[in-house]
Amino acid sequence: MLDVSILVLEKGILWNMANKNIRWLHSQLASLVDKGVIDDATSKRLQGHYDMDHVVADRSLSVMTIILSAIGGLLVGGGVILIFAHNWDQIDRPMRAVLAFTPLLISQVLTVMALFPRHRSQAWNETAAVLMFCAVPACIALIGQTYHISSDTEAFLTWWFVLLLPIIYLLKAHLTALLLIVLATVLGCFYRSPYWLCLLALMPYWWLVSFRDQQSIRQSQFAWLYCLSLAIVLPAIVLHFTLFFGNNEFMVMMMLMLLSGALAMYLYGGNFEPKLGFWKRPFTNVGAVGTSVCGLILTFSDPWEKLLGDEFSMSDTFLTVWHAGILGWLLIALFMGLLLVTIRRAIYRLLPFSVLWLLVLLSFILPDKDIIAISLAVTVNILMVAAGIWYALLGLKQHSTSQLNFGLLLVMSILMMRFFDQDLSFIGRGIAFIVMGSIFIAINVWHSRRRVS
Amino acid sequence: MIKYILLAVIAAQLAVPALMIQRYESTLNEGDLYKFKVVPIDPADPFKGRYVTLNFDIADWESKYKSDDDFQRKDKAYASLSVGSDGFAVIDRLYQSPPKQAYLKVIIRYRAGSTKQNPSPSYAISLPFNRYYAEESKAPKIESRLWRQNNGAEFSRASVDVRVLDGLGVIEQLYIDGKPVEEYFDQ
Repeated sequence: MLDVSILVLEKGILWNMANKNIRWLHSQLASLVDKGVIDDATSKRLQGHYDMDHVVADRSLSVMTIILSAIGGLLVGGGVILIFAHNWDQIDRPMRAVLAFTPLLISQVLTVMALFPRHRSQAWNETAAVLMFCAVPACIALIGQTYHISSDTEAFLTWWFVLLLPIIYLLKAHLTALLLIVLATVLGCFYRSPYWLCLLALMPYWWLVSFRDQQSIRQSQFAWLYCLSLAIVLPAIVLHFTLFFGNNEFMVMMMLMLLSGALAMYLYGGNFEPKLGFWKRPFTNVGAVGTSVCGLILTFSDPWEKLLGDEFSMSDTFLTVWHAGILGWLLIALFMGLLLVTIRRAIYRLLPFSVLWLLVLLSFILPDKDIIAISLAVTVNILMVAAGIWYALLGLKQHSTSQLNFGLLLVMSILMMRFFDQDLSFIGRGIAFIVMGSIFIAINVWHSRRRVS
Repeated sequence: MIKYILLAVIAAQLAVPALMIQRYESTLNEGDLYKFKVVPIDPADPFKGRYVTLNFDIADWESKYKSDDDFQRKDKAYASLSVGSDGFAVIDRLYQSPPKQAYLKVIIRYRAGSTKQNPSPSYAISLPFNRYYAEESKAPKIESRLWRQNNGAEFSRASVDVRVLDGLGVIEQLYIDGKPVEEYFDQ
């Protein structure tokens, strides 16, 4: 009720302010034309122009309405869940069933009404969907409480997700879509494969918002949350099936899958996202960070020794669990496809990171010798430092602080790792540091001379 | 098209909880009644409220059961159910398929390996019902009365009535000293 009254009040204030200014301008226009400050045509254009502004003011009002009603719906829904959780002794089983279904039925009626042309408004859609997002688990939970059902959190969360998923497509309900990403992340993180399918099921929504408007707030909010969710869920699934549940070894397939996921995001972002603006490029940024983390692991020689000793086997635990195996092959196929697209479109600046993937693949055929492991680690070190410097330079060139900082952070991370790397001799480390320092200074001098000239 | 999809979603949202109710109601109405000895301890669930976790004496770590079939951890099994001389439920054996007498669906908690004294393996189980939801002020009281005062070793003061039908058990009532728990705390 409070939310509704605040809404009405704000709507009234904004409406009045806009009207007042327009009235004032209208009263001034006649005298301005009389005094010859503006001509009649300009006056008419101004009138037309401020009518347009009126529409803009109305639109900002409706965004406010959407946000407030969605939050209102979420608060009411959360309140219903908490009140149900109190658990009254006095209420008998039939009454509890009625109580469980009431909020669900109300939210369903609101949803049906939202699809009638008379009620078609985004605020209505968001509120109905968010109420349903709360009513579905509240109903199932109250039944669980009534019959003292032991908690099966996995089944509970899965039903919650499945019963809500179509609603975000039917109502194009943005807040509920964001909430479902969180739900899918929880499922993927704690119950792992096959819950990556939940994230896959949310992908069409992202296409829907991107298709409508590439630069909209909706698109960037959804894409960021989606990318972060992928960055949490994919490693959780791959590491669970290889390191913890599998043969407890660092494997080529594991590394290939992690790299494929991160590189696929990076390549997709590089190909299809805008070139500038940190917040407009979630896929590029999350993909670059993911790839860098994999790269930093591979700057050590230990993982390479394990990778070189690993032989490909279709009976690896990951591949025998069908849904996890499909995810693995899907990631690899996705990466390959996007690599092909990048080469076809000749965007060669995106390719250096992909060398990491080829190096890991190479470890299937290279002999298991210490010297090869060390050379591979050294190659990755050089590659990552080069990538870091290149990113920093790109940042300087495009005046993009985020790219400059990312590049510097990458180089600094490798320097820190090597400084504390116990496997390397002090002399080796010393020489490497001097060489890298010299390269750094040389690049700086070159860059400043270039700028002066 | 949208109309039909919406109708299907609404129907599914109503059907899932309705089927849950139907399944548990039919067990409560038509199921056979068994009494189990329990010890309650209290946690909370953010969605369903406060409850007491019930530790069953027939499903604790010490109680192990024999079977002609072979089970691994987390496997589903059928436990044949009968009433002991003290009037409380006892489990006799475990089966891979439903036995002819009354039975409960259970989960294998662990498999005790064969030893010289005991050549065939035996199994500890967990029961599919181990929560009793109570009003938020009462659940902690149930726990403090029974668990803390008796150091959790007491199986004699609390019991639950469970209705069993086709392997599904639904808790009907928790008793303390022979009284329904709600009445016990209303006094």
